[in-house]
Amino acid sequence: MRSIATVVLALALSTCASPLAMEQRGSPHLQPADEAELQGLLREQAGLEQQVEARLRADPTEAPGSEPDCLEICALVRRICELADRICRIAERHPEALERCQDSRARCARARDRSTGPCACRPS
Amino acid sequence: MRRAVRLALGLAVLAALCPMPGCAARSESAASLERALLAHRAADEALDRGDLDTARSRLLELARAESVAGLAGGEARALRADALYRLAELELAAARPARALGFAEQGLTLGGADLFAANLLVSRGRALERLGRELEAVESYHRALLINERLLGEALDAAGRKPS
Repeated sequence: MRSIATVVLALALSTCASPLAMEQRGSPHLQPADEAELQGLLREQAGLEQQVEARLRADPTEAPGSEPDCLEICALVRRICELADRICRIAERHPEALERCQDSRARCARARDRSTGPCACRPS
Repeated sequence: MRRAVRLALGLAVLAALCPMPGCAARSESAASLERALLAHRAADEALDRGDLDTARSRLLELARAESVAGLAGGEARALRADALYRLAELELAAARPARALGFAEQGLTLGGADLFAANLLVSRGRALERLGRELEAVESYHRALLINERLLGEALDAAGRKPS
């Protein structure tokens, strides 16, 4: 992911360079050639964004063929249930935290239920 | 989690730069975002070498308010919160929970109830647990859980699936 962010940054900055340079030259309007160049850069940028998305969708931790949104949804469900587990481990030593444990377990179960239809999240 | 944050940073750069005619006006914020990405990369490289001091110093620079000059409030807060979260995690890994707690709490004073705040709450909870303050840790984890639950609801809504 470091590399994706870096590539995104580099391309984003490269798209910036063209209009910046034009401003330095004192040219307030785009010439046709500049417009074509800009359009090309914007297409390139859109392509990069698609690549970023594709890389994220290809995360091997998710079930093959999962919907794009499922990556985020499954990560959130896992996080909710991991936090519930942490809370309940502490509650084993501190009965005062039992109510929080029960509440968190219920929220974990609800999160799993809500995501079951649209996404095949792997159990944490 | 770290990947998501890096992605958010990358996309924030795109969002800051995409309106091409406004590019020059946004150059200051672009420079701040570029500095942030470079600082994260330098910290990553230092951590890979086991050089905690360098990693810490790069992240501390990023966590300072001056480092995010020119950025809109939300972006500035997110960058600083993310740096403080990484600092807290770094201190936890170095078995210094009191320092980790300090960074997490500093990050939480920036406000917000998003992914960055949830990360800070989890770090805060881990630090509290290691300091033997387990009931406080429970509250921190629970707050983080509630934020994640809300984000899940938003993700499901965005996907066109109404929560049951």
